[in-house]
Amino acid sequence: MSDLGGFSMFELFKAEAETNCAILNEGLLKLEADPSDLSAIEPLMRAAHSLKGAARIIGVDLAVRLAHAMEDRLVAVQKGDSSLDAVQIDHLLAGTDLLSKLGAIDESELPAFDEAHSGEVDALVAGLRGEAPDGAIAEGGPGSADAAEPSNDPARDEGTVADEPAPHGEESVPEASPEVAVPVAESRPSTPPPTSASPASMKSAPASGAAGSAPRSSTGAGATPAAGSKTLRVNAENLDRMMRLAGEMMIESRRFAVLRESTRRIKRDLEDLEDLVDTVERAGGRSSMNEGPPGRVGALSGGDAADTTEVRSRRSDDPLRRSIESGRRALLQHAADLETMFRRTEEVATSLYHEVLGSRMRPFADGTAGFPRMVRDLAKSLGKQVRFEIVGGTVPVDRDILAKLEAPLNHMIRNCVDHGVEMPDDRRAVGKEEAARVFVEARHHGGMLVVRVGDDGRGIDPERIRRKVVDRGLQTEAVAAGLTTAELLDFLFLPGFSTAGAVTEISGRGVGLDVVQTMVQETGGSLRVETDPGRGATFAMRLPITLSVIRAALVEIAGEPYAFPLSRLERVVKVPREEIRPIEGREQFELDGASVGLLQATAVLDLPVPKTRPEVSNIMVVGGTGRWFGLVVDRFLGEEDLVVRPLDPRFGRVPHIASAALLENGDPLLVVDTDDLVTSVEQMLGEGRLRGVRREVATARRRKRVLVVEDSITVREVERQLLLRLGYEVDVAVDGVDGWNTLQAGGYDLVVSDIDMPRMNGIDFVKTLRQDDRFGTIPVIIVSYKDREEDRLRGMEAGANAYLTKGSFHDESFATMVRDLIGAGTPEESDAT
Amino acid sequence: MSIEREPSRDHDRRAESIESDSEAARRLLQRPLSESELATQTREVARPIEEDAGARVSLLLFECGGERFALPGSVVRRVTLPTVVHRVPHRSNAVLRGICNLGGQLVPAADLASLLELDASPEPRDSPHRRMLLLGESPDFWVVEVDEVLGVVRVDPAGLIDPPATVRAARDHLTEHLVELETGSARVERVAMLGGPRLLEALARSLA
Repeated sequence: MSDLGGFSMFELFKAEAETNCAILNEGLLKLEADPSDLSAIEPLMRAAHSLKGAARIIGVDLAVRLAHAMEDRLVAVQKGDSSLDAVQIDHLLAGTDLLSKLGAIDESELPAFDEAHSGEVDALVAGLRGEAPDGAIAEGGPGSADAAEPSNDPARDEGTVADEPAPHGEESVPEASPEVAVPVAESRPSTPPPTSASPASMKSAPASGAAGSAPRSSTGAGATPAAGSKTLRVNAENLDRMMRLAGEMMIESRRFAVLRESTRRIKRDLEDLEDLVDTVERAGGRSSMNEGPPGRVGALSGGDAADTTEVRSRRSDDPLRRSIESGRRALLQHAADLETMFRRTEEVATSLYHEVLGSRMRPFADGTAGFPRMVRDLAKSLGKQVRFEIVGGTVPVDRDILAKLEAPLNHMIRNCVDHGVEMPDDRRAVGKEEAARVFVEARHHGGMLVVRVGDDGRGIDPERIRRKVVDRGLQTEAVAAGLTTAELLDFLFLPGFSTAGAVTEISGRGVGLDVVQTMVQETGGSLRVETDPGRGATFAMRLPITLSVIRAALVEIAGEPYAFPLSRLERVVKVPREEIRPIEGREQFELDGASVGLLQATAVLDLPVPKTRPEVSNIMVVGGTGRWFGLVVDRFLGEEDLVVRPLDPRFGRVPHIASAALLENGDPLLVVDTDDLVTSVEQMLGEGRLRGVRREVATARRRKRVLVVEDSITVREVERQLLLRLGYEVDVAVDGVDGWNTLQAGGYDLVVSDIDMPRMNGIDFVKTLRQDDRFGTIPVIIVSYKDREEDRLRGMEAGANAYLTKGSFHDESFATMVRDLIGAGTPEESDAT
Repeated sequence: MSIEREPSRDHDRRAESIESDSEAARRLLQRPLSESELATQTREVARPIEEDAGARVSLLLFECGGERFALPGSVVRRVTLPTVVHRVPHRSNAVLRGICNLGGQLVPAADLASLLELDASPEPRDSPHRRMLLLGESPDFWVVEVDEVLGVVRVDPAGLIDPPATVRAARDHLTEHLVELETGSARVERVAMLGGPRLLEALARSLA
């Protein structure tokens, strides 16, 4: 197969298949809902026709036959020769599936695919033709398939095709030679006579978008359902580079401002020079300025302004004055030109930037085309009735995010239909409509893309999860009993934890909720489950709109710029010191009658805290009703549109930071994740980790804090409970990386770590910790299943103070060791902070 | 009148001479080559590039924390003027300084001196000699700031010396070889050549 700008012909077929199968799926579902809508058939015929042509180009006979039969059926329906019953729709959908499956395989798998699906295609073709599969069809090559081609296919370019078997049908397959697909509008020597059906199919080759020679080119990959706009496939990396360069260009264009400033300075210098001339003249007589001794100039500067003007106008015929004047005029012209150029360049650079930016975005609907079909099939196979809605199909979504969304959305929708939606009878019994509502909704909210998937089914029963948690041995009965609904719902994200009684064909394969969560977290987003038992459940993903522009307030924290997305910012206020009053030792001020708790942004972000407090505090008010927080920042810098970029993935998820961006001068800044900030501030205040802007000294009586790093939830819980009982404050982390990140908050008196953990194991974790000055002296206990001497040595070498096996929980050795290392904890009952 | 025409004629003449110069140049460059010339040139072009006695390694020499180091040229992508580094809350530490903008790309920046356990640079932060080095492979780039870039030297790998067996300090650990460089006065100076992959790994650890 020939290459075409990096795409093989097969790649182009894939593009074709993707586009057209989407059209088919969508249209067929529409037809199923309203079989009388004949206008819906035309695009379907075109899609089938295009697929046929594309399949011919790559020489996949199987697909040619199938697409051809599908097209015939559709043509017949449109002509009124046949009607479209449920069976036929199923056939057509099955055909579409097969074609899109073909579009998803690798080129090398083609022969195998051909072999595996040939029988299936024969049956489908027979079904579509309303006949039993017989030898003639089964063996029919493209020639015979073409032979059966109906004459008056309105979607065809030619419009007139001989009714009799077209002999050139045979030629059309060899015609699928590479040169045909070269997308240049040059003559094609090998093109068969225009009466043939094949040229039409050729033109429908995806690459032919540029050909333009066909008076009515059929739907190629270039054509989208929205007529008129042409879509090209661009290498994503190229686009990213273009994006970056366009961004640089915009920044560079703003640097012209520097020139504007320097021009202004030259103008001022020139004026000074003129004044100087005046002064010198007045001092040394009107004839010549050479006589004016330079020493006197300074003494006489600051001469009367009115006088100066007078002198200037009187002496306008002076040669020196003339040359100054002409210099000034030239400079003014120069400044004006510069200004125009500056404006224009900036304008062009900015619109270039926005264009490139826009090209990354695709409507949300592009990523959801397959779902209505999936829901239909799924509901049908389960005997359920489902009304599927997609809200916000036009919401622009970054193409990368869109691609990443597909698998999670797929899973969540399946989950809704399979587990959420009840059987029609059950729904009727509880007074619900028989047809359940399943929805996917996308919208931009606060600089984030929020995608919600939900149903109005039975919801998730927290008690069922609770039982399961105990059954699976994930928690003891006692602990499980104390878990809140939110905590219980978190278990849904544990690998392998499914609420389904049995692993069904529908939800039991593919990705699990844990994978959904991982994906969402990887992109810097969050996933939440909301449930109202008996009335439905909703999964809400909040995803960053990478590379999108947000309006943000810029502030300085610890001498560095940070941005708060305006949409998440309640208020920006300046509060004088006397209006800030402590309540219960915590500082707050009043805003519109509500009390707003104050925190130093530096303290939350773990940055150096300024020593002195200013007379007036600059405060960013964030949060929600009833839980307002004021963050004290160094100063306000202004408001700006920022192009948000994801932080380097190597940083992992950085607490309180959503993304990065560049200032106009090119300096980096960080965008604050206000939601995360509010959540963790609440948490920290609740746990007493952060004392806000408290004044009293609380350290003297504070409880000793222990960090438990352990990937097994069981062991983690055992350790946590044990330590809590001993009177310590406990934080947990699920692996080395998490542990290291948690440790950054500071203030730990002891670290207890496992060895075998994902991402970063215990040994590396302890080594990393020991290498850091801040944690060099924290006592570390390693608790592991490994009880060989060499493991123990390895642990001690890494820097652990003690190495215990997990059996130590049963005797007192763990408790003793902890007490030996950091002293006794405060007994819980006597703790009164 | 004649006075005014003078410069214009001069201009014409100059234009003419430029015209004929470029004409001459074109003739020279586009002259047909003789058979023998063609043959010589063809041989010249077709000749494999002779590697001078064993492939030489190019090393970037730089100063950091008052000491000299060398890095294989293959890990250094770019040398630029220093740009502003922004701390990353909860992540920045002694080694990991934060992120900086290098050609529109936000890249993690590390403090090489502290990674190498060197004392703070004697050079002030705003010294005009300071440079940033972009290291590694896309997308996992790193930026480190150095006191001064001294240049690129090409050395014979056979002449590289193994570091002493007793490795304790981080700078020794990251040292792959010692390089002997001749300094001006015929004196030989030994410079630590940092291992590219080792350095990148060490940098990556600062992120964890």
